[in-house]
Amino acid sequence: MKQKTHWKFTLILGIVGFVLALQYNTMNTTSPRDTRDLWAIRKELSSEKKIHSELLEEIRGIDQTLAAYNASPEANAANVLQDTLDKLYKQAGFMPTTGPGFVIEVAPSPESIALGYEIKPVSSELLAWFINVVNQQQGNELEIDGKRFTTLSWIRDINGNLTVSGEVVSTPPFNIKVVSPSKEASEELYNQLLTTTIQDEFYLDDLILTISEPTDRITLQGWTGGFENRFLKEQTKE
Amino acid sequence: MWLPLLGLLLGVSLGLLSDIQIPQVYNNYLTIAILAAFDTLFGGIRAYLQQVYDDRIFVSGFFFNILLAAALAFIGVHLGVDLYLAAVFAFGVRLFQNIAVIRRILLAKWTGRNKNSDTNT
Repeated sequence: MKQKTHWKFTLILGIVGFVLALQYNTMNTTSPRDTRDLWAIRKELSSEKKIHSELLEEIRGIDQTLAAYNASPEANAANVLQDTLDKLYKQAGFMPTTGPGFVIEVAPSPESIALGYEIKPVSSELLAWFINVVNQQQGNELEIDGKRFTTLSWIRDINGNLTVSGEVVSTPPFNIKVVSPSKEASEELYNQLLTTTIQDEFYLDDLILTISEPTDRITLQGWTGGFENRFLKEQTKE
Repeated sequence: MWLPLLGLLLGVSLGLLSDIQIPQVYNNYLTIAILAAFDTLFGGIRAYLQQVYDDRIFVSGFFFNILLAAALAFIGVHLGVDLYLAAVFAFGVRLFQNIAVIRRILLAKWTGRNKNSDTNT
């Protein structure tokens, strides 16, 4: 290749390389335009702060447990361990819980009784929707017709019967109990349930929800069905 | 041989270091320009190997093809027809053809060299 041709090829390849790199830059670093306004950003910031505070609280709790382990003598360590175990059982819904909350009665509507309609079980979709409304607030615990609803529970329609974790929920009337972490949270949820369309949704299925006023003491039963442990393994200290 | 590769490396590093970004609206033009540049480049290599290489054709073809492709894309956007696809198709087909010819010539040269070395020994 002649020297002159060499230089031309070099120049052209240089341009090609440059354009390629530009394309690479453009494809890899283009970020979508941020179109949020001040209030949207403030809202996001507030939710992040909430998560931050929740995490801090969780860390504080774990630190306290750790300090209790370290501070207690050998004999007491078993007690601390038992406490932690009880706490975990309670968190998982295996222990009875008492706290501020309210009772919701699900009953057939007077019209459907007067007109002699057949009373059908609550549909699984409707109950799942109701639980989603309750779970919009964190820390609420539920008991549906005497069956504790835990994080591992499921709702299914089996042969036309509504079941919670495999146990049949009776045909209305039955009660749903809700326990909240505090009285304020319970009142907030109560007001939220009164203002949402959940009552109308139940009424469409010929059911009415009677929500009682929040009280200080509502007791939920613990889940008695046991649980399947598929992922956790015992840690052995070497 | 090494000088053109050095040019390519220099261009790539200059582009990466410069941190210039093309706005998303012009992305199509850039893509088509790259395709046109590749087409001319491989056309040039092919012409050189076939010993019909001409400097003027190579350099003018490089810039003209890029401009033509960008113009097609521009007109396509304003007419509401994806004309740049025509350019993508044409350049794509030529690119494959050129690379195939280059491969054949290099293979022929390689086998010829092997035969020569065999007869010499």
